[in-house]
Amino acid sequence: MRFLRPLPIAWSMLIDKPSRLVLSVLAVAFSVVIMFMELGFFNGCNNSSANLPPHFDCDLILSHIEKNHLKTGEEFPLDWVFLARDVEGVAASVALYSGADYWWNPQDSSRNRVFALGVDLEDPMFETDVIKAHRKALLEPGSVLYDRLSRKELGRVETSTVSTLGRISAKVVGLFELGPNFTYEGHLLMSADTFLLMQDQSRNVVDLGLIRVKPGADLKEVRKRLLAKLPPIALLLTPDEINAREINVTTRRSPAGVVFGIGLLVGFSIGIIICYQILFNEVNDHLPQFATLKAMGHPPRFISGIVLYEALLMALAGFVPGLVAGAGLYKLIEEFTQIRMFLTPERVLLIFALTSSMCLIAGHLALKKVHSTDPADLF
Amino acid sequence: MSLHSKQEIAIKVTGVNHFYGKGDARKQALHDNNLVIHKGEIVIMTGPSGSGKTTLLTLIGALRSVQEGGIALWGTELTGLNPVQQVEMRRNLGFIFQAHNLLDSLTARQNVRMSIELTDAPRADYDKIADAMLASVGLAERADYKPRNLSGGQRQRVAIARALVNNPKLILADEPTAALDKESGANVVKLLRKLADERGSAVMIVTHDNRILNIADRIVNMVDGHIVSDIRVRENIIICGILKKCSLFKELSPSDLTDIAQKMKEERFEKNSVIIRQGEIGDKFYVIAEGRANIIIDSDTGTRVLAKLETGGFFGEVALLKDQPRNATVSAAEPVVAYTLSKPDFLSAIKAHKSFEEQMGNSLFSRG
Repeated sequence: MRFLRPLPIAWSMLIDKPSRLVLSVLAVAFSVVIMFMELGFFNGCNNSSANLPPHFDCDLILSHIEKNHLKTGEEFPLDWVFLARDVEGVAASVALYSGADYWWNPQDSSRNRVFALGVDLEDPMFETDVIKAHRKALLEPGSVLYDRLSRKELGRVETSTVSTLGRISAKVVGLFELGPNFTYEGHLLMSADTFLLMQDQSRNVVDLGLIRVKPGADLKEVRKRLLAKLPPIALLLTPDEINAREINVTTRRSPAGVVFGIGLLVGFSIGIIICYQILFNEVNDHLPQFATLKAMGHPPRFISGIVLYEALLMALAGFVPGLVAGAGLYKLIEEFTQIRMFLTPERVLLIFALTSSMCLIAGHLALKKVHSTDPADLF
Repeated sequence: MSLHSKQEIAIKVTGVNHFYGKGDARKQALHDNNLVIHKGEIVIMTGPSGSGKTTLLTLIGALRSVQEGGIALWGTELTGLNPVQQVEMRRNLGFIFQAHNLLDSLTARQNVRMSIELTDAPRADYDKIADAMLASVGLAERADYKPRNLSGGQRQRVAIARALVNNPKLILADEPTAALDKESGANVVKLLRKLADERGSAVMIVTHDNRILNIADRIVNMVDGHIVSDIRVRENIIICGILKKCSLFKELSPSDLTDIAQKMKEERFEKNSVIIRQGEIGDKFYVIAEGRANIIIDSDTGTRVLAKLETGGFFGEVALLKDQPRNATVSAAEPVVAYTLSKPDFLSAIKAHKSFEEQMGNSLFSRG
């Protein structure tokens, strides 16, 4: 337990000056909040743009090889869906139509872009439970399911709300939850028939094919057989792969991901600078005392231990209020923008790790000063 | 009376040179310093600032690397120790600084514990040891106080407790009383004296504070990197006392006496042994500190005792002044302790003091 010896001294030094402690804790908490916000936006951006994959109930998703994101266009012929049905190991294969269109706010008639999905009502493989529950109502052309988490700009929409959607008059027959993203204000679910009507699209032009393999069949083998049968411009991905690709596309290609990524880095750097400033002052004030400890025969690592434990304690003390404030702000942002911020345990841990390393890096920088002092100069 | 008791050597400094800077800026801070400090001795180092006393102190304290010459602490040579070994070495030392340098966030007890933690003492005993040490510096009631709630003198006593708690064989103190008022300063040095006596530690104090010189066993004065004097205080007082008694030096001021006393060496003679022999070349001047001696003259008419010398008596000056062989033999009538002054020192002392020369003449005259 030798390495724990500096801990009580670090603790006593921290609490010795309560005013400075409060300031330090607030400063750390501040950078924690910044990091939480940036990570929240970053992930909110990613999660929102990758909001579709979790709702698939299929094993493989078929698309045109050029379609690099679920919400970009690049269609393929319906034939592929039928071709897939004949492949050994495939249980079912259905078409999914998707695309953006305009939604008129029923209250003020303002127009916003929404993302619509047209599913096979018999075997949707997307939001299956919701579709099944509303199957009957959706059979009626013009019936749609409305995403409750759509942005408020779309108006107050409830079951039985009627409004204009693209070329048709749409009637909301039920609600579901998907969440908005940075590109579209809301989402709508409907039957393939309604979708084709809305977009005036040919049934032959398909956006995605959803494929379910037979129980017990080897997914890899099935995928191989499918690819052999389908034209080379066909792409087959699992929902997980699609999810990873969606996030990757947002992070790498869309400026929003980069912006928030940089924001996270900036928050981290600000944290290092603030912590360094605090620790440097702390070290500077105690320099003769540290030098005395060195003179007495305490090894340099003991003094490093004091400073680094101070840094860690500061990280801990600042993280808790930072987490609380961050969580509060998340709620507030979700309330105002309907963008989900997702405070998952992994992300809390990530921010904690970032906070600790932020303080430890600052501590290491401040230590340079300690180790450059010569105890001989005390005399 | 024993002035040079056989004591264990704590520090032995031999031929130490030290330089600061490099190339053209290289400046010699210490010149061939030699010093021996014994166990239980309190040595005060004085000298103007920049005289090198602090450099010597930090070298002895293993806070700097020895460049030239040798410093041995209890026989362990400091030259060539790497930084880790220096840290180990320093654990045997107690440091006291002008600014107490206590950790301000810790209580007095916790500050003392910082030293104990460097030892193998069982953890459970830390507080007990710390409290006992604080009690011995008179701060039993203040163990739970933080430095900011203690007076300057109390803080320095905590610092002393911290320096002494591990029973260091050597205590190095830098201006321990400079920041204290007269009374606190006196208490602090009394405490150091008491603890040095009780524990047999060697104590080396760098100070400009002449109020505390009286606790020293020795006062080492440095000027420009040289040790210019090394006064054994107690011995010095004794020799001065003796010199004062002898008619030759009666009129000299204490500082003149100290100058002479410093250059004198102790010599012991058995009963009936011959101290100087008639006809030999004279090379020393003698003062009897203890015992009695007879002046014997061999002449054509036989050997006869010319005179008896008591404590405070002196002899041997005539041969030095006149550059002649000894004109008489002096033998110890009982065991004799004498202090001797070499011929060059004796002659330069005479040259320096005109009145001394006159007295010398008188003394020669009165002896006939």
